[in-house]
Amino acid sequence: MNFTDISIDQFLGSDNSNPMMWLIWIIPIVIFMFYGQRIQLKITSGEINKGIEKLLKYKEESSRELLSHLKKNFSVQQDAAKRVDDFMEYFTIMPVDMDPSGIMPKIKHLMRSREDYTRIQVRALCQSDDQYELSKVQNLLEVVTALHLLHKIVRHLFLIAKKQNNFPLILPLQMMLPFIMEQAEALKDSVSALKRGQPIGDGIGPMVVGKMMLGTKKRAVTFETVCSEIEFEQRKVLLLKAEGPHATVGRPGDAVETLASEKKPDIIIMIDAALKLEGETSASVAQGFGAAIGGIGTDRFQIEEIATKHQIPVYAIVIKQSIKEAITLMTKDIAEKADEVESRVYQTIRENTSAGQSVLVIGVGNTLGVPQ
Amino acid sequence: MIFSKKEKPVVAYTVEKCTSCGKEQKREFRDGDMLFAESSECSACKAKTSISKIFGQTIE
Repeated sequence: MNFTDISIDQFLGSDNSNPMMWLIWIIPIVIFMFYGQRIQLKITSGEINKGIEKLLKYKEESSRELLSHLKKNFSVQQDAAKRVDDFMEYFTIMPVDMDPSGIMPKIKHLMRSREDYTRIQVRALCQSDDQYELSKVQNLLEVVTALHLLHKIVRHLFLIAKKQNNFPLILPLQMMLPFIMEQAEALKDSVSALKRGQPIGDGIGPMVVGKMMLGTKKRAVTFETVCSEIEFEQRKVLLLKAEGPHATVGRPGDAVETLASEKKPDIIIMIDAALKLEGETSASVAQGFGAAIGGIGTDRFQIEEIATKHQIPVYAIVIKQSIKEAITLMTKDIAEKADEVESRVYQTIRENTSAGQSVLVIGVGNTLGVPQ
Repeated sequence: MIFSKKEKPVVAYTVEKCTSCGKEQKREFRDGDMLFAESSECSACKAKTSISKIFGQTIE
């Protein structure tokens, strides 16, 4: 059979009055007009469903790892799994923000209460007084809770859109899903470092200050926060960080308040990990002004208030990294920047103070695996 | 799955730095390793080493 002499016109029909051709064009248009959104909803649903399954898998994996860690390191009771499940459902009701004046102390109080309660719960669960191990469990519980929350929220939004066959409702979720998955993957990967007590990317600030603190006399300033003093080119340098090697960020806000009234520093230098923008080089170091500290904002607010009240300039040195690098095992590039950051701290001190003045250097971040 | 990206394993390493001659030695991370802690003897001068870095590296 010869196929070379078939013309397209002959095959499809060049005559526009052909009713078959008319139907072939018009039927899909009608289908897409009435059912286009539903078809798109079905396709998008498939993608989101896969994301939800992954989130569930991450949550279950991290929860299993937490339980195996508890059983291996502590004499936990039989109901440990149930207690972990109960803990995942704890919620925090944020204060009313219709009148935002005075909201910060309320948030701070709420967060402190939650932290204290979690600490008591973890101690009861583990039946141990080993602060280092307990802090690791507390962090692991937070990871599992965060993954549980992400899974619940994504599933809720997806089911609402599906139940109402509402395509526009699913669009924001589809757009946000890659960011949510990136965060979830980072949380899942952080479990291993937390279990083994390895320093994470966020610990670069405490690592720099911890190294500067070596061989000095340390004292507790506030809860889980330590301070020491060194002399540098006739300047008094106060070093502040969370108490390592526990998995904690300490209470830098309260500590700055205490030290500012006691020692009256002339400048404050804050060292912290900062989220890099897409395209920026990981582990690059940048300097700037203002309180370099993350979290919910209470510590930053407190430090800004104190700095403003005492007219203390605040300098920031940040080490840029992705969300995954910040909460998982520290990368080689980040670890190798510690010496450069330290020399930048000394340079900042030289440039902005004179002999006889005092400086407060704060290493901000989770100090897991970083003693002083 | 055909198009899914295969995750590359990350291995944790510990770098020990000699407090005397400054020589650095890299080995795999062992449980209990902690930054700035005293570690093994230096292979060159037999002085004490301390852990200067702990980091993860992706195995290609």
